[in-house]
Amino acid sequence: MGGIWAIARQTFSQCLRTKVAAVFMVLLAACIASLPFVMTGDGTLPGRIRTFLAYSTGFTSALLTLATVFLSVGVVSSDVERKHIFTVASKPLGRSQYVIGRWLGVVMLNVLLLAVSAAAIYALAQHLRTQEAPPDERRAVETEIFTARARRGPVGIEQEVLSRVEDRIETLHREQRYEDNVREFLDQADGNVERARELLAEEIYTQELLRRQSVEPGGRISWTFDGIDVEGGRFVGGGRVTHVDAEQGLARIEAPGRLLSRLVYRGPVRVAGVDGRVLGLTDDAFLVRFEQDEMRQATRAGVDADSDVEVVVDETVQLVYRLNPLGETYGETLPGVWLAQNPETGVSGGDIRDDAAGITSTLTLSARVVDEATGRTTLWYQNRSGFSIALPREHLGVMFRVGQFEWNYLRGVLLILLQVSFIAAVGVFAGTFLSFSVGSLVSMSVLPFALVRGFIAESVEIAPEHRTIGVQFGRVVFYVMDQLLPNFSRTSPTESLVEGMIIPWLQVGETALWALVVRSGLILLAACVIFSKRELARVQV
Amino acid sequence: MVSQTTDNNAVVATVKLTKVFRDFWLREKVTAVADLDLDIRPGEVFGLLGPNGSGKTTTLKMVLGLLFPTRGRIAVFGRRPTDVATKNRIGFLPEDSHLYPFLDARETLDFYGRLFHQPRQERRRRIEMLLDMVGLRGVAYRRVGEYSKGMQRRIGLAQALINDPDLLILDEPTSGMDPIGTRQFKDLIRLLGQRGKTVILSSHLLADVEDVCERVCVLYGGRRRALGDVNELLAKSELTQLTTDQLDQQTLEKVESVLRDSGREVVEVSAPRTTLESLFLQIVEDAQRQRLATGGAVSTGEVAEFLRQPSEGREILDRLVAVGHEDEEPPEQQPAEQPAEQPADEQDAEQTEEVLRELVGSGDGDEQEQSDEDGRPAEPSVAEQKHHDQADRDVLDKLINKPGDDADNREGDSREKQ
Repeated sequence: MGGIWAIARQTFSQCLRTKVAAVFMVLLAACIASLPFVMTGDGTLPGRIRTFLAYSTGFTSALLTLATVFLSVGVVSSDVERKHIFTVASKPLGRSQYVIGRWLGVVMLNVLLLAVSAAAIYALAQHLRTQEAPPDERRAVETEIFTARARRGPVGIEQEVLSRVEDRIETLHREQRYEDNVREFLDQADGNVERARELLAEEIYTQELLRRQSVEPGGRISWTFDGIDVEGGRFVGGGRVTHVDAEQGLARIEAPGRLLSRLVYRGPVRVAGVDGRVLGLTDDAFLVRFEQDEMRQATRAGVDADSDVEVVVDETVQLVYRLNPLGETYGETLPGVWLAQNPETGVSGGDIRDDAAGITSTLTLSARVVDEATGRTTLWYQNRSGFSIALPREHLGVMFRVGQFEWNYLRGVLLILLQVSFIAAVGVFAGTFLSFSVGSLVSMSVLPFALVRGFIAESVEIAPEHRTIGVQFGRVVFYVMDQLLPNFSRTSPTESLVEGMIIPWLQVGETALWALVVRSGLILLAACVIFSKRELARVQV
Repeated sequence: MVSQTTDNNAVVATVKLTKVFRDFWLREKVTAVADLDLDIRPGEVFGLLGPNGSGKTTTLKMVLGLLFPTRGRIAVFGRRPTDVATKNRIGFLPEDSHLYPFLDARETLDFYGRLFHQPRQERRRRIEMLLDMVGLRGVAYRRVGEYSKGMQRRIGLAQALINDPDLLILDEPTSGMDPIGTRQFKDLIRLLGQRGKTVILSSHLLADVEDVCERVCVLYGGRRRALGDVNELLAKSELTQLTTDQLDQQTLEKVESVLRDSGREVVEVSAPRTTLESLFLQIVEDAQRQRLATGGAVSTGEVAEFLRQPSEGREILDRLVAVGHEDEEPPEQQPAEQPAEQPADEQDAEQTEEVLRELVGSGDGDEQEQSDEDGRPAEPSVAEQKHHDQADRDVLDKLINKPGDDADNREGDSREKQ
């Protein structure tokens, strides 16, 4: 272990003193520092922060990956090319120890560079977080970015649709129109009747799914969600009512900063036990809006000018949706009503919205609309626009906080570290038997497989009739690479961090196991074997 | 373990060692070493000689496990050259030092010391002593890449000694070195040899090898052309050389007449010259004594200082070299320890002694000064020295007509100065 550590230390200092590491740090510092000022995103504060997080983490990851390729190949191959290995290999140091020490040294450097970059990104993101912004944007910043949320989609749709497909096929049989319909697909199925039946079922399924997930003008649609396990509880505080407008259903309440900091614009709040919605926030007070019935309840509960009231801020959940009108809207917005209800307690919450088409919108609701025991809630949508609207399940979800941004960010950084650690193993492996230039080239060729696997996977999915020998060979290569290399496009933390989505420890652990322990381990093992069998005094070119 | 070698006690043993370099298509390109049999014994300073491309470095690389033999066997301390534990006992200075240019001298030694798992304190102690010894303490903060080649050789030697090796392998150790460094190198090698360390010296600088090696192997085209004791290989047993104070013509004729009477002829009469190395060292010494300014010559100065105080160098070596060699004979005794290897036969020696006795004349010990400057002792080893010292002195005293000086002490002095 002493030998490995000596080599690792030496590698670390070697990398720090070579220009690659210095250039990396200068480039990264320049980019990260300038990003917040040049990136405007969609012009809103959340947009700016999201763009900053996306570019800075993506840039760090890409630059670190590239630097790692060159450094890890270089530390081994240059030792052989410049014959430094003569003095090192004549010391009591196993060749495997040398290889592992080199890899560890590069990983140590990665830890340092990543720690510095991550700290800089975090500090700048926090700086952006404190910028002036309208309340709506501030709410989005707090509840959608600087958080760690999980997402649940609607459940039961598949069964519902399949059951409808069965009903329709049964009806076709009953009406003796089934075989006629199958015949319509015979051409497409090359005369194969079984295939034609499958195609008919698929077509019916598509139609029923669209029907299930779309709503006519004036129509209603509902979904059920479960497994919403909201972390944290409510915050209970007190405030003083300074003004009440019963007609408008408005009350102004002064409250301490601790309480105000937990309120979000258009988010839920309970005043004297009555549900309301925050309509305004200042440094020392908030404005609450009650619906008609609720205003009467509030008055009865003693919400009156100059009265002290109990204020409860419940944990929130976010409903995320995207309305897809079936037809051109020409810029018209799509009015509608959303309502979520706790199936056990009957507590409900919702809002009347006027959303743009094709844009993802968020509705913040009190977590009390979710049943604590089952994590279940029921959601309704009433379409008040003049268009039919499709709401596919992948465009609909309930997000809820399950952790803190800081820990999530740390996990994201760990994922990047695992990624570059694997690349370091590949680089060291290449350096054990190839020259610097060839080794770098080989390591670089691995990157597309690790970074944009999805894209490559799509491109090799070719219809059976087009499978020539060349294509088949390409598929075999892809399959081998697919098995050998981890898929970093799936484990990249950027999207999760930008969306405030949780990166579970399980995912980090899984990536660590497969990317680091198994794959990096195998690659390093191969590197050790090659290096041990190699005549170090013979220079490879 | 290599099961069979020609000598079980050999530090390095090779049997029919062959190295063939092939190209990418496995076609034979060159046979660098062919059927080489070698036994390098414990405690000897062994020279590997040969012109460029004769296979010296290839042989050393195989000894170190940096190249694998194509055929034949090789054992280092009775084990395979790739055995990691054996490396604890080896120090290696490659042909071009090959040190990390971005580390400074201290960091360099620290790095190599760590590879030997030396405890921190011990490592630091050795590093400071080695820096003193190679005269780089004053520039230890500078990165090795900024060093001159000679300075890199010095720090290279220091890294090779950090583990107090039992086997020191030096590949062209004096290439790029100034005369002071070369002299220091040779002194060190001799001292290490006297302390029981085995040294393999590969060089084509024949004077260096001749100065320090006890046995040599001459390679050409990868094959062994000669192997044996240096004195045996170089001795001209048919000649005798005398060195005295300057003689006038009359005395010279007298000597010639004595020699003629005993049937011998004077082959050559000449005034010995000092060597360029001695002259150079003297100039540097004088300059340093006068504290003349030189750009970047600080380290050289320190080395010269060190060379002027050989006892200090030995003190450092004493501390560096492993405990257990204290009972060895002092260095000046060393040449006298090889009676068995003396090549002259008994008859020749007696005859020579007889002639010397005939040469009755004056005697003084000053000739030892001359022999010292040649860098070699005045060759007394032809005869069994201990027995004949007194007889030789008597002869010389008579020859020079200056009886009474204690030549024995002077001889001892001259050896110490080497």
